[in-house]
This record gives sequence, structure tokens and C-alpha cells, in this order.
Amino acid sequence: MPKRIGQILLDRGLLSPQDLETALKIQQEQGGRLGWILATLGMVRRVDLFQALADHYSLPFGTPRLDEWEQRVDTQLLTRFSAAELLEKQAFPVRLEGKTLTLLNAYPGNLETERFFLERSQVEEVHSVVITDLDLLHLVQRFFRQDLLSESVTGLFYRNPEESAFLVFSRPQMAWMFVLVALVGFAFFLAPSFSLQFGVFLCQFLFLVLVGFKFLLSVVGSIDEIIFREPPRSFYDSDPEALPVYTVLVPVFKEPEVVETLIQGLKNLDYPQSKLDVILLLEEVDSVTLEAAKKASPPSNWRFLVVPKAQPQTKPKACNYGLFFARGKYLVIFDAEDVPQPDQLKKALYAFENSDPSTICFQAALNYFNRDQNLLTRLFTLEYSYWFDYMLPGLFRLNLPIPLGGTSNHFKVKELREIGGWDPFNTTEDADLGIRAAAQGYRVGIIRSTTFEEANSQVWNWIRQRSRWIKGYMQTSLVYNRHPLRMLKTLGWKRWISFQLFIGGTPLVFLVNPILWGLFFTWLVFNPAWLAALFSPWVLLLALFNFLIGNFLGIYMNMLGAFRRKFFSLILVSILNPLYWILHSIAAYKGLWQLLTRPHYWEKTVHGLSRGHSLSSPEASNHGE
Amino acid sequence: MENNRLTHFPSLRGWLFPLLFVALFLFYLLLGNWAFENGLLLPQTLVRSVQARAVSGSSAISPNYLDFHQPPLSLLLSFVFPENPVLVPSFSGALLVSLLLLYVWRNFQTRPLKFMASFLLVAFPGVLFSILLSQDFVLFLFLFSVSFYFLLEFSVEERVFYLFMFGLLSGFLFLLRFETLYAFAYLVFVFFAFYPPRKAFHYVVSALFPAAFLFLSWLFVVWIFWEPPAHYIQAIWQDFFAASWVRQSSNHLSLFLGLLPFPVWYLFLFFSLGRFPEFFRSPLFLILFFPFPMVFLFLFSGHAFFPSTWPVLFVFHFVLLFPYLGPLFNEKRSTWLQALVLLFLLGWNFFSFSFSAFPEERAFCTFIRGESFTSPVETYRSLAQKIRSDGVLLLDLQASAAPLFFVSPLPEMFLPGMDEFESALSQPHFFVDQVLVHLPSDGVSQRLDLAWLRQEEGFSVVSQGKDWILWQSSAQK
Repeated sequence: MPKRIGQILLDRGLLSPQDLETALKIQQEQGGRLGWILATLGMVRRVDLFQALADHYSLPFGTPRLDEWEQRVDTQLLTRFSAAELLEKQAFPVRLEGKTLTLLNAYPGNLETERFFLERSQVEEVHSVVITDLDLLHLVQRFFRQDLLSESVTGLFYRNPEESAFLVFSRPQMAWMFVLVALVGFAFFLAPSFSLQFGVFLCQFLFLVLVGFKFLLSVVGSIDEIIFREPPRSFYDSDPEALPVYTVLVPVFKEPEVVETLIQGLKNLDYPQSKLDVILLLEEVDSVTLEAAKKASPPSNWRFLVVPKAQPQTKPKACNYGLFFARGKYLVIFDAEDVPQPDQLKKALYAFENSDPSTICFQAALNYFNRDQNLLTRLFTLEYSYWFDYMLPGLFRLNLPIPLGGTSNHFKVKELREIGGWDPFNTTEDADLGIRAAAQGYRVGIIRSTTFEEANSQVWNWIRQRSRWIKGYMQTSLVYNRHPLRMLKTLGWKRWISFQLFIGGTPLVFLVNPILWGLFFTWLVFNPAWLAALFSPWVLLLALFNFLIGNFLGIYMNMLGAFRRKFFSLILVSILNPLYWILHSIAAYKGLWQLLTRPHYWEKTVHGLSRGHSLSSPEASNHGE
Repeated sequence: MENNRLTHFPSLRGWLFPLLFVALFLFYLLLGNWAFENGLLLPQTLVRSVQARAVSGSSAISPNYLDFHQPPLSLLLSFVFPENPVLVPSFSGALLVSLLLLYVWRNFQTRPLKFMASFLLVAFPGVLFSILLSQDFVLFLFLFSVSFYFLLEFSVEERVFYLFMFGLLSGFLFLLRFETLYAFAYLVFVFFAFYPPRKAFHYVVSALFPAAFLFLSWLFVVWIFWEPPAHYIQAIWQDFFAASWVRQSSNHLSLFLGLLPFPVWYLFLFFSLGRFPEFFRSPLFLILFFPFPMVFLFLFSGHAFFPSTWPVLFVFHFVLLFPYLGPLFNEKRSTWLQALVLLFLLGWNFFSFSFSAFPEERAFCTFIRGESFTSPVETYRSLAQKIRSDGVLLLDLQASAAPLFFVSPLPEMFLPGMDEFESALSQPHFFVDQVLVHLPSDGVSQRLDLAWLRQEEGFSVVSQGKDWILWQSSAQK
């Protein structure tokens, strides 16, 4: 009988009896493989673990001579396999010698794997050599580099070009826009005053509809506070062995300073570490973060994936790359500086298990830990509190399409792959994904758990970030309006109108707002005759209503968002919201300009501007979700 | 989330709510129209209706037509079906009563009390009077009751949704009656009495922000179109005191009679709850007590209310609060006693109507008994018969609008504030065919020498009453 892994490691002096005892106790309580528990707790080195595994199965250990094995790989043989298959089986075929296949195996002892390679290679024998899981990743990334890159960048585009933002405007859209511009021009030529009046009325009417829609969402969203049901306590105490593997994707770029915080945040998650598959996605050009990550010596359940350099260099491309390597049944995206509430994965899991099977994703709430840093972070926090605590729950309760937030999206991996992952050409890939899910008949849900992030604290940095988001909304709107009737048929009236108002209406409002405000204040202060003609009594009434009630609702909703989060210091700040909306308008014009000139350019947000601002108050971290 | 809620908001799904609503709406509409046909109307309803019709026929929304010192929602209400003042109150009344009925059926524990409370809601004379006659009072009741319900829920559960709804509804309430300001003062007191100062401050800000913002918005509109905000605020304060406690002193006996049983009943409730000292330390206690200071605050503020109708507020208040109190004083044990009290309240209200100082309330009492009565607007109706639709009329619409309710279409009018008004005053026979004056003085009679009008301008009196004179010229313009 072969020696047990723990015994082998003990005999070699690589593990202390106390550590073994601790790991066995954890195994007894939480289940899982002992070797993996030892590695995730940092009690043994990964290489030692796999060496012991090789000894356990009496197989040779290939890691020390990996370079030689790489030289011997028969690339012709690899064409019989896909990268996904090799990752799933955790094995890598090297070459055929007669009726024997040499297999580099990171999961030895699995008969099913052997059977798979026997059949596929049509050989009689498989000769396994043990390598570490990271070696396997390295091999797959090296030999399938181009395939993986193509899949990450253009996978969606080639499978379904209609749903990719690669093409900004489709030809029919160009034609329609041309017709529209011509019609407007013609109308202005024929009756300039009436056309302008009609334009103002149309804008005001749109505002009115949007105000009404957002009010409805807010009311329904606030009812959600009352009818929402938390997972029962028993769920948290359920058998850890039964929990599925959960992949955590963390795309980072030039953020060496946040790695420590990230590791700590993820260690705090209430989920067995041995069931966590953490993938840190690094860009090839970003050696600084890679070094910092290595230096931080994260647990062994962490993997570093270096995303090959290619354009566009965007977060969604990195996420697609990571999705390829995900081992979990579920997957979540966190940004490097995120601090998720510890129970988030379990809440998501509970939500998945108790929701409609068509639910593909659950979005957790986002909020900011540096909210008290300055006025901008305060206003940003107000906005997010309202957005994630009222608007999104409102959309969810009304069964309307939900644009996802940037992080803390929990997915079903299989379904996510089916719908094509993220669109790397869309600069709000998250919002786009939420809409694509809806367009393909899936639902997106909301969970009550919060991830605390770093709020953008510098105005220009904020404008850059927001311009990217607004540009992304415009892209998403254009993508799903390529075939509006088809979309209407798929979504139905209610959801289609909601999509148009929410995704199309949002940038439009930011664009039109300064014009209307400008007109209104000019009328108020100077009252020129030409302007008075624009505002017939009814339009004036509508404009006043929008101006007063729209602003009131906007401010009040934000106020209550702060109230609900018990961010009392922000309650009065909400009165300054109109100033914040001016920034939105500036960002919207920047976004529009970029849509026309650099549609796929990713305005990178600078993080780490909040040094010294930790979680602002203790209640924030365990706010009664 | 643990389900620790004491009450349940009425379910609006299913057939019961629409059925109930439609039935009540039709009931109120038929009854209201019948009352309307028989001249059971309040003079202020006539005034608002005429002002709204005058504005609708004009190209400008001007203070010549409307009294902008009225709260904006009240003003706005005048514009909804001004020809038929029964529709809007029937609608809001049916909505309110059907919601309350569902609330009672869902939250009261015992059948006798369910029945009695339902009967009270439908047949309480004050409720009927409000719905059939008082357009804005029924909306006031609706907003007050529903916002009050949310405040109760907030005081128990502290969920933001309830505060949000309370804030919004009380904001609208303030735009309907500025006197609600006093209720807010009481609310601030309640918050500071039961919560730590910092928390109370934030609660107060969040709860009262809508009222403050909406009022400031209204001031902004007033400032753009009519007058400086300071003048406006001064004017509405003057209005408050113009109809103050002293002016209304003749109503005090009626009011005392109308409200008499309620303090007794509340005392009984307090005694019943004496075994629960924690109740007296909870916000519920002050909220239960709420209508009493409200009565006095409203009285001092000159709120124009009807003494026998006012107890409706107590009834709704009690109905809403009862499910919170029921578990404390054991609803099941005192069911019959409570039911009898409710029956007594109903009878008392009927009695107080018949002895009311207000002719409108007495007329209503006679009307529901099915007896003939003198219409409170009979004077206006008879005066209206003499007013010619095709003749230009000089009048002060703020003071003399009521008779025009019965004139259709409205004649062309010259009003104080209009460019032509001064010319019409100096040479009436060139400009107008008719002059309507409200005595002892209005914007026309103050400026016009009535003797001169008869002698020099060729006008003769065609109708004269205690408060009115209508002059007409023999030559039509």
C-alpha cells in the first residue's frame, strides 16, 4: 500500500506533525484533499506537494526538468486536443512513442483522464510524469498562446459579430443616422422655430419619462429592503465538502501596491480556501505587479496568469483569458483593491441554489471604503449607494435587464462561457454582459452583500473613468439596437423599453442636461424674446417640473441611499448632487468624442489614490445587508 | 430577515381591491352627484372651480384669477375637472377608504371589530361629508393617513422605505396644507424625544427634506412668476392669522362637542395600556397622542376646518394605529367594548353634525336624513341667474367668484391687476356691462363709488342680497 501524502511529507521533514494535525482537523471539518489544504495554508510548498504526490503514485516527477519536457513536446500531437480539454483533465500530452503516450500529469491517479488520452491518442499505454498545476498552466499558455489570445480577443466577435462592439456603427445604423440628420436639417430649414420648440419639448418629455422610470425603480427597489430574505443560518453551517469550487478572477494592471490588501481580503472570505480557485490576471507588460505578487507569497490555491500582450489591452480581454482557466462551477470578479464582505460567496451560492435556473449571474452591491476622503468620494459614495441599493434591486424586482457593475459579479461558469464571456471591445463590458445575458434569455439577480472599493478621489481621474463608462453605455446601446425589432421580440416590450431608457437614456440625459440648464438659466436671467418663444406654457410647465421634481427626486434618493447605509455624514452632502451631475455631463461629452475617435480605447483609472483611508467606519463592513 | 412586522400593508393584487374601489367610487360618485344636484356644495369649492375655469380660458396663469397664497397642490387640484367637483374627491375617497378597509380586514383580529371598523369607515358622517363635499380635505386625509401609517411602520422597524414614503407623502401634504408645518414641529419633538440627538437630527432631515425642498421649489416658481419669496411667506402667514383662533371662536362649542368623546376614549386606551410602561416610552405613544396637539395647532394656525368633520382624523388615526395597540391591550378580550365605543362614536358624530355651527354641516345632516334643506349656495345660484354670459363683467375674482360657478360659459371679465382694470373703473360704461360687488368690501367696491355708478354711468342694481350687489348697464357693449 502506498504511503499517504502526509506521511511522505513528514518523513521528508517538509511538514511538522503539528501542521499535519491542523490540516487533518480542517479536512475533517471542511472536507477537501489534504495536500491541497496543506498547500493553501502555506504549510508545504507546491513543488514539494507534487513531488510527494509523484512518490505516492510511484511516478516520476517532471517539474525539475520541465524545460527538457517542453523541448520534446510534439506540436502535431497537440492539434488533437483543445486547451480547454487539457485544462479540464489537468494533463498535457508530450509525444507518442510506439503505442505509448507520455503525459505530463498534474492530477495523477485519475483513471478517467488516462482513459480519455488512451482513446483520443489511440494508444495502448499512457506513461504519466507528475508536474505541478502551475507547470501545466505554463505549458498550456505557451503552446496554445495564439488560440487563447484569439479566443479572448475575438472569440465573441467571430461567434456572434452582432453582439460585439468591435464595429461601432452598423451600416443600417449609419444610414438611419444620416436620414435622421437630414430630416432634422430639413425641418430646421423649413420651420426653425417650431423645430427648436419641438426639440425642447421632446427632450423635456424624455426627461419626464426618465424621472418617472427612475422613481418607479427606486420605490420598487426600496420595497426590496422589506421583502428580501437572507439565507437561513443553517446554510452557513452546511457541509463544506458539498460546496462547489469557486473561481475568483482578479485582473490587475500596474497595481503592485494593492496586492497585500487583496490577499488579505480574499483570505477573509468565508469559504473553504481549498475550494477557492483564485486567478490573478496580470498583463505581460506589467512585470512590477507580478514581482509584487510573487513576493507576497500568496496561498497555493492562487494562480498567476500572464495575459499575452495584444490589443485591445482591456480588462474584459484579461477576464476572458482567465475564464478559460477557471476551474470553478461559479466565478466572481474582484478588482485588486476590493474588500468583499466575507459572506459574499456563500450568499451568492445560496442565491444561485434558490433562484430560477435561468439566472446566470448575481451582482453584489459595491460601495467605497474611502468615502470621507473628499467631496468627490462622498458624492461618488452617494451615487453608488443609490445605484446598488435602490436602482438595481428595482430592476431585479421588476424583472428588467440589469447592467452589471464592474466587479463582484458572480457567474455560472458554464453559462458564462456559452454566452461568450466579456466583450473586450466594449468599455463597459460588465453592463454589456448584463444586457447580453438578458438578450439570450438569462436573468441577472442581486445579492445583499457589499464589496468595498476605492472611490476615485481626483476630478480628472474621475472624468476619465466616467467617460469610459458612458462611452461603454453608448456602445452597448448601439450594439443592441442593431436589430431593435429582434431585440424587442426577444426581450418583450417592458424589458426593451427599460433597456432603452436605462442604457440609451442615461448618456443622453447627461448630454442634453447642460443644454437645457443653459437655456433655462438664460431664460431666467436675460429672458430674451427668441428664447421665450421656445417655452410655450406647457413646455415651460414640463421644464419646471423636470427641473424641480427631477432634481428633488435625484437628491432625495441619494439621501436615502446614504441613510440606508447609515452613512449619516453624507446625508446633507446629497444636496450638492447637481454639481456632481455637471461632472457627468463633462464626462459624457468626452465619452461621445472618444466613441467617434477612439472607440475601443480603455481609459485606465488610477487606483491607490486613497492611501491612509481604510474602511471608513466599522459599521460599513458589516452593514445589515 | 425575521418577519417581526406587526401590520401588513393592504394587498393590492387580486380582484378584491379593484372591486372594492370601483364599488366605493360609484357609490360616492352617485351620492355626490345627487348632493351636487341638490345644491349641497361648499362655497370654497365654487370659488376654486370658477378660478380654474377662468384660468383655463385665459392665456396666462395670473394672480388676477387665482389666489396664489393657497398651497400649490390645493391650487392644482382645482384644475382637475373644475366643472364637476365630485369626481376627484370620489376618486381619492374611494381609494382611501378601500385601502383602509383592506387594512382593517387584514390586520384586525376579531370579527366584531373588523365589522365595526369597516362600518365606521363607510358610514361615519364625517367621512361622507369629507368625500362628498371637501375636495382637498379628503386628499389631506388620504395623504395624512398613509404617511402616518408609514411613520408608524418606521417607528417600529426603522426601515428606510417607510421613512422614504413618509417623507414623500408628507412633502405633498405640506404642499396641500401649509399648516402641516405644525405637525412637523410635533414630529421633530417626537424624534428628539425618543432617539439620540445625532440620530434624531438625521431622521428629521431625511423625513422633512421633501417638504422643505418642495416648498422651496414652490417659492422659486412664485419668485419667477409673481412676487418675491419674502412677500409670499409674509402673505401666507397673514392668511394663517387672518382666520385665527379669535375669528373662529364661535365654532369652539361645535368643536368641543364634536371632539368630546375622543379624549375620553383615548384616556380609556391609555389606562388599558397602563400595564405596559414600555409603551409610554416608545414613539408609538406620542404618535397615538398626535391628533390632540394637531387640533390645537391647526386651530391657532387658522386652519379652516369643519368641527364635526375633524373627528375623521381621529377615526382614521385610530384605525391605523389599532393593530399596533391591539396586541398590547388584548383585542380579543375587549372586542365588544371596543365595538360599542366605535358605534357610539359614529352616533355622536351624527349628533354633532346636527348641532354644528356651520350651515354646510347642518345641511349635510339633513341631506343624509333624506329631508329637504336649504342649499348653502342658494344665494349664489339665484344671483347667477341674473349674470349674463355675453356681458363683460367687472369684479374681484378673489372675493366674488362663487356665483359664477352657475354661469356657463363664463363672461369676459375685468379683474384687479389687469391692464384694463383701471380704465374700467374710471369709465365703466365704456368697458363693462355688469359689475359684481361682494360686501362689505372687495377689490372693486373699495375703488368704485357705487352711487356714482348708478347716477353717472347708467348702471342699475339687478340683484341685491346681504353680501352681494349686481349692477348691470342698460346698453350692451
